[in-house]
Amino acid sequence: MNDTSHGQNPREEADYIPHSDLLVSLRDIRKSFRGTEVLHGVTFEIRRGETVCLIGPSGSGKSTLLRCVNHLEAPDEGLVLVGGRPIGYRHSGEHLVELGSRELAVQRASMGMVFQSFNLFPHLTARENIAEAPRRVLKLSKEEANARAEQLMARVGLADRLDSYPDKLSGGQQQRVAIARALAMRPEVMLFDEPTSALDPEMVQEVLTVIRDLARDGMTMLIVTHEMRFAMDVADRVVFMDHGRIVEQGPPQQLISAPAHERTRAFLSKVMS
Amino acid sequence: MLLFTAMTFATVVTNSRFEWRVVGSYLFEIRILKGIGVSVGMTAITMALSLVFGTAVALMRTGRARLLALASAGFIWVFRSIPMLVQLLFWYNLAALFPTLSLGIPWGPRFVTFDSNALIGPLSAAVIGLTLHQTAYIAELIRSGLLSVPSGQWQAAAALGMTPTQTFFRIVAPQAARVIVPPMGNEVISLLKATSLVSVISLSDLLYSVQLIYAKNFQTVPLLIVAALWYMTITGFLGFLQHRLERRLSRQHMPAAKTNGSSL
Repeated sequence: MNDTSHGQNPREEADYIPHSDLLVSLRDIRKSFRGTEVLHGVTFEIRRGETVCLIGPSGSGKSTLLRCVNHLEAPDEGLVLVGGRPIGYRHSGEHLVELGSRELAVQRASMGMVFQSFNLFPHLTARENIAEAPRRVLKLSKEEANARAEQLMARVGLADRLDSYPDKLSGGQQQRVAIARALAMRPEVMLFDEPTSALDPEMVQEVLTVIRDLARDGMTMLIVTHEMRFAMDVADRVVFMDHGRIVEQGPPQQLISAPAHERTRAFLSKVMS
Repeated sequence: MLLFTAMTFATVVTNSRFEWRVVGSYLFEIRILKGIGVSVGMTAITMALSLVFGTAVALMRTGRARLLALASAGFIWVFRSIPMLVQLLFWYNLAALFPTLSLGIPWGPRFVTFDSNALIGPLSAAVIGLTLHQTAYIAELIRSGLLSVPSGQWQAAAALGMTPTQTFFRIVAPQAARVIVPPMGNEVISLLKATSLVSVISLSDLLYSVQLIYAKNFQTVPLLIVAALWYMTITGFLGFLQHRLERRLSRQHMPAAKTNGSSL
């Protein structure tokens, strides 16, 4: 069971795909809330299999940028491409036409998202939380969806908590179930919105370990985080944002030990101490 | 307090003017039973219709479309403000306002024309009035239930690729139900009692049936007791159903209750 599903898993093959293969591309994203622009034209790209950590002070627009990728926030201007497809739009000749909720749902199904506050469904058990979307969206049978749930719960180290309701799980366990829930859709890319910010300190590591394993397996990931040590450890690239703009980006060692910009230096000295 | 209750009870039972014998003879009288059928039937139809419409109005009210939200807020304001009795009389007397109702193009040709009196009899006037009133109340109830579900639930489901319809039925509605069901039970009970108002438009519900009988035999109090006993019985039954439903919901959705149950 375990072996066959691993073989079908696209992320297993990720290592063999050259890193120049572009998966996510954000082009000149602008977004305003109530007349205040929080993203001033952000452009950046994620290659297949790459782990990118997005860091920066709160209010810098990192979470908004992340939520633009799966169109939970619709950019006012600019375009998000995932696997070459415009997110939230479809081509109609020369023009782009906004997608209906049904078509948008299909696009979102290929992107996994993990929230700061877990957002598990409180009326469903861990198993049901994970199996719900594969059953309703991918139209898997109950048995297939449950098998997927069991396999993923084992992968996040919670094989014995399948029948637990979210409020019987610790924060760290809930977040691991939330990761399993996102993985159950076999997403092309995983988006993490401060996955450890709502956790007690002793539970941070268990969640980071799961994310680290995903990076090792070649999952494409965009992670908004405040955990600098984790970012240095897991990221292929760190992107520093401030005031709605990307200030600088690069390999973690280079960016964190030798930042080129004063603002990056100031931010890092605050969070590293 | 106990003494007072006992004294009241004794007075009621022994006072010959209560005519308990008459109460007994009319309790299962065919006209009374038919009246109960009308009252209960009207409650059921009105409740079913206003659940559907109320959900629609609540979704419009909480939705993103400004115009729809405004329209549903207006609807709730109008039909919550007008007393049920006034509405019933209004719908019943609609014929006075519009002697004929027709389908067609305004100021243009008419395709079908109905006589208002024939189209809106007491029963449809009652159902329309009760439903509009009840829809307004239930919409507010459902709205508060929907708002009790955090927006993160919608977002999590959307991020998983679930459509808004799937999210509503599978994720949001079950959680909102826990908040909605207890006050909804009270709404059904209030509605049952409110149906007695239709006696003013001479629809033979439980109260009107009773009134017809005591208009002839002048046994006013015993027959009102018959009506009261039946309202109490049905309300008791509805309360029982409400309790059962609440227990089932809490067992399904509240893990705490589930754990307690299995440890017993």
